[in-house]
Amino acid sequence: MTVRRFPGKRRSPRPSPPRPARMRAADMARVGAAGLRARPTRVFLSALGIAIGIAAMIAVIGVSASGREDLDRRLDALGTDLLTVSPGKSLGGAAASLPADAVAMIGRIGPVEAASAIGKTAAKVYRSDRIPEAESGGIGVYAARLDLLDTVGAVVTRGTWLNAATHTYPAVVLGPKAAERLGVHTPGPQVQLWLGERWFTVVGILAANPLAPELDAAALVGWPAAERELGFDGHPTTVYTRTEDSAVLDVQAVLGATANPAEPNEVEVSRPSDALAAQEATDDTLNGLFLGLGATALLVGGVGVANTMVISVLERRAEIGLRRALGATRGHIRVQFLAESLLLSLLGGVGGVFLGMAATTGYATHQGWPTVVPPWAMAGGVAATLVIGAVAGLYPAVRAARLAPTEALA
Amino acid sequence: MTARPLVELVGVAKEYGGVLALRDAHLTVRVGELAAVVGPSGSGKSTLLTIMGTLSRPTSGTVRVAGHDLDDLRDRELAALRAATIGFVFQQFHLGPGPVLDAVADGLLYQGTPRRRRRALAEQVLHRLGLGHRLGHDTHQLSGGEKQRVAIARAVLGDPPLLLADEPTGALDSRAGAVVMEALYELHRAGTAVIVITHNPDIAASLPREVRLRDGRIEYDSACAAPVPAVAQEAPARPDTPVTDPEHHRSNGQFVRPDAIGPRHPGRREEDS
Repeated sequence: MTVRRFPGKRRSPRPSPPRPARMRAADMARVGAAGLRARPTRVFLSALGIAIGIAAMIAVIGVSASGREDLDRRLDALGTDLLTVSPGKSLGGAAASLPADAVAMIGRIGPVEAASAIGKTAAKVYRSDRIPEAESGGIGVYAARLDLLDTVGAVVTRGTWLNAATHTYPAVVLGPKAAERLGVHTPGPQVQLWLGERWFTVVGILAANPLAPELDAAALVGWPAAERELGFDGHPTTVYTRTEDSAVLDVQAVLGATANPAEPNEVEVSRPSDALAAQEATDDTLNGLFLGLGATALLVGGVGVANTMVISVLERRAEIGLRRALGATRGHIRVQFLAESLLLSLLGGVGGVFLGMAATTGYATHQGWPTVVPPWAMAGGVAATLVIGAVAGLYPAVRAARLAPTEALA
Repeated sequence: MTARPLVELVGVAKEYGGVLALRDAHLTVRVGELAAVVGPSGSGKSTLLTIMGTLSRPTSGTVRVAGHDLDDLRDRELAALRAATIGFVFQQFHLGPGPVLDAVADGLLYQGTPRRRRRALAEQVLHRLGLGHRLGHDTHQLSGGEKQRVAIARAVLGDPPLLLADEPTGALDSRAGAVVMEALYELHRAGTAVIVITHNPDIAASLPREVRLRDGRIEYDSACAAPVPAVAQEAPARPDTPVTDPEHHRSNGQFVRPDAIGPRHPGRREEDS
């Protein structure tokens, strides 16, 4: 409003040049939005391109985060403080064994809260005495200490665990896979298995335990019963320990030497939760592939936005001309089209975040996982669309601004 | 009529790709004037309008608008000058979709006026132009005449001293055209200088001043042709700009040349846009 109807009473030969007004941010947004509102179908379709790209990336990140969250929760429930000790190989390559008193020695390490063990016996288990000897079903028979259940965190689904009485008698507890292979569904006094050349009674069935998968296909008998009935030598083959959380690594370091002070190199110490995590982490390459696909879709979406904007500029020459006639500078026109492009891809971005969240929720719910979409992924997705909108809109905006008003109005 | 000059063209020529669309134009529009620029299609009317409206710069010659020499202004300053000084009305209205009130309020979009104020002014102007009952309607619900009056409202929202109307009645029937012309008269009476570009000699003859164009030359200007034609300072008579006898323009057939009869004649803008 520098030039009034009567620009000064003095007849100055050269009045100061008029200065264009700055456009308000709200007006920029309003003008950009009005441009989009006029072409809803096209806006929807080009925003969809961006949305698909963002949704794909959000879903990949969300699904993998949900899976990890699920694993973390499972590990939390199972505990990451479980360490196992098993005999490795001797220097000569022969199978080593742990000393019979390994459990007692390990139990004396300060931070160790619990220690228990199983020991493999040479016996085999069959559904009945009529089954040919070769058809052992891959089920191992182990001697188990009574405190195994608490140490490992295993759960009995049917029947009971061994107790002070039954562990001296021919009683057996089956892992879930072993029970399935033997065709045992319910334990009971009349359910007998042919184990080590005599009948054993099934007293319980365990639930699957991801931290000790070796128990799933095991038939567990009491330690004294194994020694007496099955000729078990009393050497543990896997020692399980629970440790104070803060001391897990320290204990892991000394566990080998403690279990077998004479031959510490013949001992294998492992942390099952690490193995489990590593196993789940192998999906990362697939995630990378999907992220790449999402990025490609996003790029294609960006090209779609640029295309829409270029067409829009071509179609709206008259509007551009009119705006120049109303006093818009090239800068005003540039900002208008840039705002439009930004809004367009932002629309796609926000839509994509919601689509991605929906996909993540659907998949996670289907898998029984908790739904986790990291906030950084959502913020990143929206930020990425803003960058795409700016890049895609730059050329059309510059083109629109360069259009001469007379040409635009012709 | 000694009002200050608003637009001054001195020896202006405009060339488009080797074709001289306008040559040696001398023209002064003063504050508060009402004038017609008339001529057949292709005579340079629109070129003259874009130069007066600072939408394009002349190839040669000097243009002064509101005291500013266009040569001294950069493109953005020109835009600011346009925003504050000149309102435009086009044959095709150029109204976007949306409510009438917002379409008119856009007239001050580029002057940094807050939206609330723009809308308040728009309401005032619409009432003044007899469109008070159409405020909330969508632009596409209006008749042609109403659309053009909305476009006029948008053009004069900031109360510019000059209104350039390019064939304002070209797309309207005679009754709607008359209403639009009445709106322009009304603005003129309120003090706005109004230039109406038309190929209709009747409209041209009905306005106080008439500038006639032919083949890119100002053939006749009633302001200069008055008592002593040759005296006019702004438009010295030259061999290549014959100032014709006022009698001549009465015969209507004179304006229609063979090359002007064709599909490009009345609906020219429609075709090109």
